[in-house]
Formats: sequence, C-alpha cells, structure tokens
Amino acid sequence: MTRRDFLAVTAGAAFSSANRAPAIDTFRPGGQPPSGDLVFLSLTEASALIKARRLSPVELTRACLDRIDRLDSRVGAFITVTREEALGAARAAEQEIARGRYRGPMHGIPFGIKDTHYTKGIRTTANTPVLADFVPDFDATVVAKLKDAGGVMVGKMKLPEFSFGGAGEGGAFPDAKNPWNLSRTPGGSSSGSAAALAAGLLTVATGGDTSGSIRNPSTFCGVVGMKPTYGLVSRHGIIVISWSLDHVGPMTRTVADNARLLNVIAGHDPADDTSSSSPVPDYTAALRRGVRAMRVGVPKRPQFDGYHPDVMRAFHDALDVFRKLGANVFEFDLPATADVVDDVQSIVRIAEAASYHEPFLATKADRYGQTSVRRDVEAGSLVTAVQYLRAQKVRAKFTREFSETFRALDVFVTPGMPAPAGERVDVKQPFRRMFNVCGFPALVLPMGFSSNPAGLPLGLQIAAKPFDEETIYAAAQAFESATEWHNRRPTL
Amino acid sequence: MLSDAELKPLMKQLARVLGLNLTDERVDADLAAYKGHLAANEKIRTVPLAMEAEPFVRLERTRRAGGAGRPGGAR
Repeated sequence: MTRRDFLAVTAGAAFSSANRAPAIDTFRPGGQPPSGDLVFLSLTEASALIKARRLSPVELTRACLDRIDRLDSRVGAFITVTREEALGAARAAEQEIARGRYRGPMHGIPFGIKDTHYTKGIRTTANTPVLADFVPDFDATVVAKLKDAGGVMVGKMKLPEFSFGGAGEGGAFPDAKNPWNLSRTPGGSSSGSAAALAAGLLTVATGGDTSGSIRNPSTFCGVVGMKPTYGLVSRHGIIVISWSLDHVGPMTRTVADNARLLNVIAGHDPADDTSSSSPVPDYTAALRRGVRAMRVGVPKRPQFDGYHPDVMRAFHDALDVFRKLGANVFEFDLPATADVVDDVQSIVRIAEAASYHEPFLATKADRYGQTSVRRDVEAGSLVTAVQYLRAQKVRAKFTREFSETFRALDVFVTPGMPAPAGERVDVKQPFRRMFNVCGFPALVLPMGFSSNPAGLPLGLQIAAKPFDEETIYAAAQAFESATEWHNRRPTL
Repeated sequence: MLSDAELKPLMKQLARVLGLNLTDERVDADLAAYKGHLAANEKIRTVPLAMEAEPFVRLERTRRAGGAGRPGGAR
C-alpha cells in the first residue's frame, strides 16, 4: 500500500504532494483539522489524525526530519539523528495502521530520546568522550516501550557530559541552544529534548531528572516536563548518575500529551529492582477533573527570597488562576529538614555517581571531557560510607516529614525555576532537588514570559504525593486550559 | 574544617585506599569539589537524628477516598 492509498482509505482524497514539507491545511476534508504546521501538532492531535488515516506517519516524520535538517544546525538539540531508522519505522507504522492494526496514541508519532537511554545498535554517548563509541546491544525499557507502542524514534537528544550540571559545554558535542533566544541556555540536563520540543523538531521526548533535569529545561524552553514518582518509570538501560535519585519522565508541549506519554512509559519492570508494582492508572482520565476545592499549597513567602520579579509576578498570576477555578490556595510551612535537603541530595548524588564512575576513573580517566565531571566524581569517591548513610538518614527523615506536610495538601506549587533562562539569582530554596530526594512527582508547565529580559518562558511546578500523578495532571490541565502560554512558539 | 595543606595529603591517602592514584595536579583540581562535599556534610550533621533513625524509606500511594493503598517502589 502506498502512502497515497493510506490517506485515501478514509479521507476519500489523494494527498496533495508526497515530497514538500506539508502543512496541516493540505489535508482533505473529513473533519476540522487543527491549524499550524505538522511539526507543532500535539501528540493528541497527530494521533487522532493518524488513527483516522488523515495523516501519514511518514509525512509527519518527514516534516520533523526536514525541520531538523533546516534548524538543528542552530538549535543543536540532537547528538544523533536516526533518519533511516525513523523513516523505516514510520513506513512500518503506516502499513500496520492501514491493515487495521492501530496500536494506540504513540503509533506513528516521532519521538526523541535523551542520549543516556540505551538504544540497540545506535550509539549512546551521554555526550562524553568516555562513551563516544558505546553502542548498546539492547534498548532501555523506556525505549522498548515506545517502540512497542509504534513510536518513531527520530534521534538521540543533547545533554551536558554524563548529565552533570544544568547545562554546559565541554562534552563530546556542543550543548543545545534555547529556541526562544539562541544566546541563552536551554537549561539542563535534558537540554536537547526541551529545545527540540520548543523548536518543533519532534512531537514528544523523554528526559532524565536527578537534580531537576527534566523540570529545569522544560521551564526554560516553555514545555511540559514530568518527573514521575520514583519507581514509576523504569531506569533499566539508562546511564546512571545516581541510582536512588535518577528518574525518567515524559517531555511534551501540552499537559494532555504528557499524560498520554506517561501512560506508555510507566509500569513495573522486572529488570529494574526499584521499579514499583503499582498498577498504572489511565492518566488522561484525570485531565477532566478540574481543581474545584483542590487544596493548593504554597510555601510561605520567605522561601521565595531572591526570586526574579518576573517569575514572582507570573507565579502570583498563576495562583489567581487557581483561585478563579475554585481551588483553595493557602500557605504552609516546610519541614525544617528542607533547609539541608539540597546538601543531602549533593552527597547522595555524588557518592552514588562516584561508585558508578569507579571503572571509568580506573581505566578511562584521561578521556573525560573538559567539564567538571571528572573532578566531581573523583572528589565524590572520597565521601565515606558513614557520611553517605547520614545523608540517607536525613533524607528518610525529610521524606517522612514532607509526607506529613502533604496530608493537608493535594498539590504543592512553586515556580519551576527562580529566574528566566540565563539570569543569575541567589535563592534560599530552588524547590527542585527536594523532589528527587523524596521521590514525589513534580511537573512543570508554562506560566508566562519574562519582560526583563523580554520573551523568555517561565514555568509553574506542581507536585503531589507519591503515585498521585493524576492530581498533578488534573491541576495542570485546568491551568493550561485557562491560559494561552502553551500556544506561543519561538521565532526561528 | 581542615586547612588545604591538611586536606591534600588526606585526599591522596583516601584515594590510594580506593585504588585511585590522585596526582598533585588532580588533587589541586579536585580540592574545591571535595571541600564542597565536606561543607555539605557539615550542614547535614546539624540535623538531629534519633538513635533508631534508618537510612531507608518506602514510597507508597496514599489511600484516597474510595481507593485502596497500593505498594510502591523501594529505595
């Protein structure tokens, strides 16, 4: 079956041109198509069109690949573009759907994978010369799930060397740029995933989050990023920073897409001993819940000392949105252990990282890039077991105290980042690492744009109790539906 | 806090025990990071802990109205 036949089956008309970069308005009647370029279709929109055979997975994939060819030399979101594999997977999806075997929302959808996720037969570099030649012989569980769902992998996404740090140069490849302002950082460490989504280079992506590495770049690039509960998404086949702090999660342009992607990648994995056995609910069912009477907790004001004024203005506007939607917004005190939670995270992280890096330090120490990674893990090797375990005890204490705090809350909201991309501020509490320490879920979504400097995305973070991603999605969808921030696109 | 002159030989000896050969150049490069780790440990030591404190926690889904609690991931 040709692509023309595929589209003609239900649309009743031939596709206008197989080779030009298609826009959605080139489709034939059969329903009201969304406006805009194919590359900015949401997963929700694209999957509905693909399911109805009004959009070919090959055309959608080609549109992404064409845009990558045109723009990625400036954005730098990809380490590896898997063009031929992507077109092959898209053709296979097209044929399968044409035969009536539609697998679900990811079928025929282009996705990107952070280059810490093992991909069978495709190099997985973590942007380090240490692993420049590493070609895994199996897929990470997350990658396998996306492929099994019929997704089309278009490439491996940028990050700083070994995912260390917010963003930065000195790895095997230059880091990505922020599509909203190419002279600004996209944040990190899942920099390429966020930049590619903002630039319309793919439909959905994955990221990793040990210290905020999904939420930081999602905020800076104006997209939606979820760090799920620890154990909800498998870490099997993911290059490690810190076993007990690492999380894998979905990154998208809308909240609904994020829920759909989490549906695909969440679930028990016998290959990951820390994987949860919780059944995975349908997260999209929560999108319609709304926030009426929802208890929205906000940390008391001194916790925001030092935050950028544009961030706080947008944050207060966001709280007003929740109030208008019927939520009960109130302030609360953080447990005292929150004051040391970033120190706890740094000791646990670096001690575990040093253990993971032990064989690299022994045999490939001279191959590290021009970054702080070798320095940090060498120094981390000197942290003693007693120091590590004390940090773990304080971590457990914080987690129990924070759980108690959450008895009075449904969600906990803060700004996603204390300042717009590239702006330096000195703050007491950035509210990122604490969710890696306790393992509770936290999502960021767009909540506005800065005025000074102008035009940079600002993010809202929504956190909840363990395994209560549904309530986060309910709150996030209500906020997104009441605002227009997610509809803005950078000019490239 | 130990001085830099005291820390440098300590770092070399700790590294040797771990089978890691830290040259003088590497010790100089790593010193600031190591001091950062020690400073973090000092702050962590200010948190009082009960004798029974354990370094583990198990996350579980909180029981919701009309829903059952479910087992979570171990860490």
